[in-house]
Amino acid sequence: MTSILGAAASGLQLNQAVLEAVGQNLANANSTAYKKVRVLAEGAPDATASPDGGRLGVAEITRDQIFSVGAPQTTDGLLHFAITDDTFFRVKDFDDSIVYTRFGALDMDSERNVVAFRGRLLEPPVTVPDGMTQPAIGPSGVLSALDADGVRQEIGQLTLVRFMNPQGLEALGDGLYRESANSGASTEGAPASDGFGAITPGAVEAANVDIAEEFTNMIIAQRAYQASAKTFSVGDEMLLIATNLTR
Amino acid sequence: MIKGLYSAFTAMEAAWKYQDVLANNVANANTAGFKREIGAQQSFADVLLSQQAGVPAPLSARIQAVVGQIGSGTFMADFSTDFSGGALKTTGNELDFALDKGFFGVEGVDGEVFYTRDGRFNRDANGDLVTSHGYYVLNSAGGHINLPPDAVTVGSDGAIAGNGNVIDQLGVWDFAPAQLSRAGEAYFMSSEPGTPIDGGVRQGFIENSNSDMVEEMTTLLAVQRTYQANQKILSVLDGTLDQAASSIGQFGGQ
Repeated sequence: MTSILGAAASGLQLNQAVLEAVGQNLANANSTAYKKVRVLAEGAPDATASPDGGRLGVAEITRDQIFSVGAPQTTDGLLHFAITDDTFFRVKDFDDSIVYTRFGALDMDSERNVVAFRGRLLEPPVTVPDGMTQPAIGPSGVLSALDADGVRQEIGQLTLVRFMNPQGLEALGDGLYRESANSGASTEGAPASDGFGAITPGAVEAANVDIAEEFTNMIIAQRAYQASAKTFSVGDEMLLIATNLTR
Repeated sequence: MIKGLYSAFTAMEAAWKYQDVLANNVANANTAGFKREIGAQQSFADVLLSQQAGVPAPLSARIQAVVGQIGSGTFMADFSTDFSGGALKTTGNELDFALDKGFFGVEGVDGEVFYTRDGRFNRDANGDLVTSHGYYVLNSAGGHINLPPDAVTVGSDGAIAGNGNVIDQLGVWDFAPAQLSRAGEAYFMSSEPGTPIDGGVRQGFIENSNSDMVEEMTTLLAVQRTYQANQKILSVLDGTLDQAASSIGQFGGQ
């Protein structure tokens, strides 16, 4: 008898989760290589459902990260690159664990290491030899620097890693992901070879957030929230009527 | 008069059941592949009210088993699923699918087959095409679909191609509405095999719920008033019965 209240409450929860995701996506609309999250309601398959039962509203709320590729944004940084397919490159986190990222804004630190976001080392590490300047990255992932004679010499090679199920990666924040049991087998290769796309040097990947889409989701969720709230109060009033049957 | 009480009561009972269905429709207004339920109110056919227990032999000659006629209560005859299509939404995601017609087949943990129009699929760790519950999506032969890690394209005929080669064929089956029973919000089961169809697969789309918010809310409010009205009838009848029980037979003029 009170399943009307349960169903209405599940609608409130869902739409709140959608609004939270919209908030997160809009806040990160300009974050480099940010991947939007999508919250959706999902029906749960139930082999034992009876025709008259189980109307409990939204069964499950799923929250997926969408790994579609963001547009490259030109920065002209010599060590900047945008990945153009659904792959990652490997860096070493501060606790020495191996993590993956798409944040392609590399830099050279004071110890002449080529580092990723917030000074994390590449894995395997690449160091610019003494006397060489202007490290740069090319479309096939070759890292190079100018020697004393002004000739560009190769100093390392960046490889890309593709996971069977990128959505199964564990998101760590800072655009970092860790391999998990759900992410499946990985394959590794140089950009522009073996099915890996070339990277775009001199650019970084923009967030894949579509502002118009987010606002549309926001309006829909807001109205659906209102409808669920109204449903809740109707159920509440009916319960009140029922309890007032005997005076 | 007591029959009137029951009529009002059955109407209130029916209203509650209807509200549960409507609330479920409202809550699932954004559930991909959800199919709303619609209710049909029906009155009871007039039925003869019989005694519950048999009457002992000496009395049965004099007392008729049939007490009288009762009718005009309401009950919710049936909730049926509205299989009309929901609006298609572009997502551009590689493994989001919508269908023009028919259902995807999904294999549950115990090997049972569910049918759904919720086409938001993923690769699992082994590269098999699965729903977000991890249930296997079936190919046209009823087997699992194994995908390469590279992007795949799926044609409108359901053919899955990777690197230019056809890898597998997405299974799509059609049913008559009566062949399907509900098994969760967006899932159905059938005891009969469906008719395989190839065509109308759209990659990068999902199908929204077919709940119509305006209609659900309007009906919800209307049913609430029905409930209220019947409660009023109950209390009026209650008042009348009260009078009958306590006033009739009283000596007048006291």
